[in-house]
Amino acid sequence: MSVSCTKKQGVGIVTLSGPLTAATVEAFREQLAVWQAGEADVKNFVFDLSAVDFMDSAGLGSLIAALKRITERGGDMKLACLQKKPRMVFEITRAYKVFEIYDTVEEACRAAGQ
Amino acid sequence: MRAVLHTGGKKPWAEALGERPWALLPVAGRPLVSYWLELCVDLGISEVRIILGQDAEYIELFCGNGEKWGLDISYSFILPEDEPQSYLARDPVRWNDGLLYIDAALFPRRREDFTREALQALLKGCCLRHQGAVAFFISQDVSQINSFIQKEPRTETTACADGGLIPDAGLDLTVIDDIAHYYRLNMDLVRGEMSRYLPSGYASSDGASIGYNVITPSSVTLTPPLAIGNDCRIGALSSIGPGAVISDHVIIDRQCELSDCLVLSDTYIGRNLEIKGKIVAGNRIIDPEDGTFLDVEDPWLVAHTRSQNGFRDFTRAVCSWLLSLLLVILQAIPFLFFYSIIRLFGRGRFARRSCRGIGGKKITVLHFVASRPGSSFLIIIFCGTSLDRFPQLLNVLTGKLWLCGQVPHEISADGTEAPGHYFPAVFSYSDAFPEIDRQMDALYYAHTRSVFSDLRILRHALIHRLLDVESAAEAGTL
Repeated sequence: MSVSCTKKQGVGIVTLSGPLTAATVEAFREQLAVWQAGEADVKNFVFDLSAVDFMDSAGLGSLIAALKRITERGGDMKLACLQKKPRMVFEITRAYKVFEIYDTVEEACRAAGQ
Repeated sequence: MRAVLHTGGKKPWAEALGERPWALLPVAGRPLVSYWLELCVDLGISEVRIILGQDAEYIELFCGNGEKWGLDISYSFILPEDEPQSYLARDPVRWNDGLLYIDAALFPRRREDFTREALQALLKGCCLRHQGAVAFFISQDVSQINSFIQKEPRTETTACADGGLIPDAGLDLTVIDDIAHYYRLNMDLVRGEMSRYLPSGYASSDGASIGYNVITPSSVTLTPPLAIGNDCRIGALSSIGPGAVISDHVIIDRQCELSDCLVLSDTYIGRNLEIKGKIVAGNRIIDPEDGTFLDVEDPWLVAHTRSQNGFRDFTRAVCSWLLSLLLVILQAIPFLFFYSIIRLFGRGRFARRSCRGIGGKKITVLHFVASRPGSSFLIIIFCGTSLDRFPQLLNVLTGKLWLCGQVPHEISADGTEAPGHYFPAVFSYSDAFPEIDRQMDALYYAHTRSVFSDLRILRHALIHRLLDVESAAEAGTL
């Protein structure tokens, strides 16, 4: 699992790559926390999941935990480019009701910037 | 009149639905093959021959001797590459009284005007081809039957099915050829057609069919149309339906919502999940629209409620390992002694062969090769006492092979994969009974495997190789 974070018009874009599972959530959490600590002014985030081909309940749990932390700081979190298999996990767990999911990063950024 | 039903062969679309044989996939909660048997009953056929392929044991376990349907069911195997029609040609006279033949994932779909009396119109003769092969054939006319068995390009029948629809018989012969089709069929049945398959005395006026031993707490909401199989448990505050088709032995945990979905048997659905427009088979979730599937590793989401054959294979594995250890202890010193002499005189050596081991993994199997044609005394002793299998016994101890089972599948240049239900072993039926066909023996072993069959193979193999030392030595020179 690799995590790359950039800032675009005040919105933090977190690009994840690889499976987001119990084996990789710790690395994801740490890398995200380090970046968030360095960019304290970024409140809104877009998670680009176009390269996440698999996700389990631990991976989903880590996204929910990230959402909780971001909203507690008064920010917002959007998901973009959810692939077919992770989308199935979102559907059966009803996680699609918790997150705002967009087809493209641009759409998600526009929504996060508003 | 007799029926021949072919349940073998692969159906690629069915493979995504798990390891269940395609003929046992449920349609509205009942295995597909049960509809075929019911058709036989309706047509007055009492003698049924089921041709088996892989997963034969499950088909045989379900159909038994046919007593459940008042039928007399017997079984045959054919080789994977053989056409089932060739089986009919072995004894063509046998089918002269009439023949019903099914060789596809065919669902005899009853139309609204279906009656059992109208079904007799089928007996005038009918042949349905699907993707160039005969999927369904029925006739009482000897010339039509012979023409069919001889695989004449066009089998003339008096009432040929046009696209599977047979108006006179009130029947639509639907060949399932993809997951979307299979899913739609189930949804269509649960949404109104299911009542056409109910035996007399049963009713489904409310559009709900619930099997035996189904536990539903009072807080569960059941919204017809729905179908629930036998031995199911549904957790409190769950909502089932509309359009939910749930097979046997399914556990649905608390606060779930299931609608427009198909849940195959032996499945656990975890707490607070929403299954909508999906097929769930054990721990696999399938999107019927495009066949995408997801194997969920979290047992608290979706999971298998039981593993099939787990205990039987576990017992075999333990016995296989202990017997191998015993053989290794007994053979170690004789092997070192004889093999040293063989090497000293240059009479033979072990050659490496790449094979598929347990789980299809690539392994190296050492195979004894005599250096000269003809059998010397040393080679006869070495092979006759099965010392040539000593290195393979070590593969059993390291978990790469079984002691008894099927001949290991050699890895070919084209990368052909090992067959399903694969039990590569040191000794196989071909060691014990050299005259039998290897592929047939592999199929037979997968079907009948047990500790007792393993002991039988081992006893016969060791005795046969000892008594027929010439053949054993010749096998070593191959």
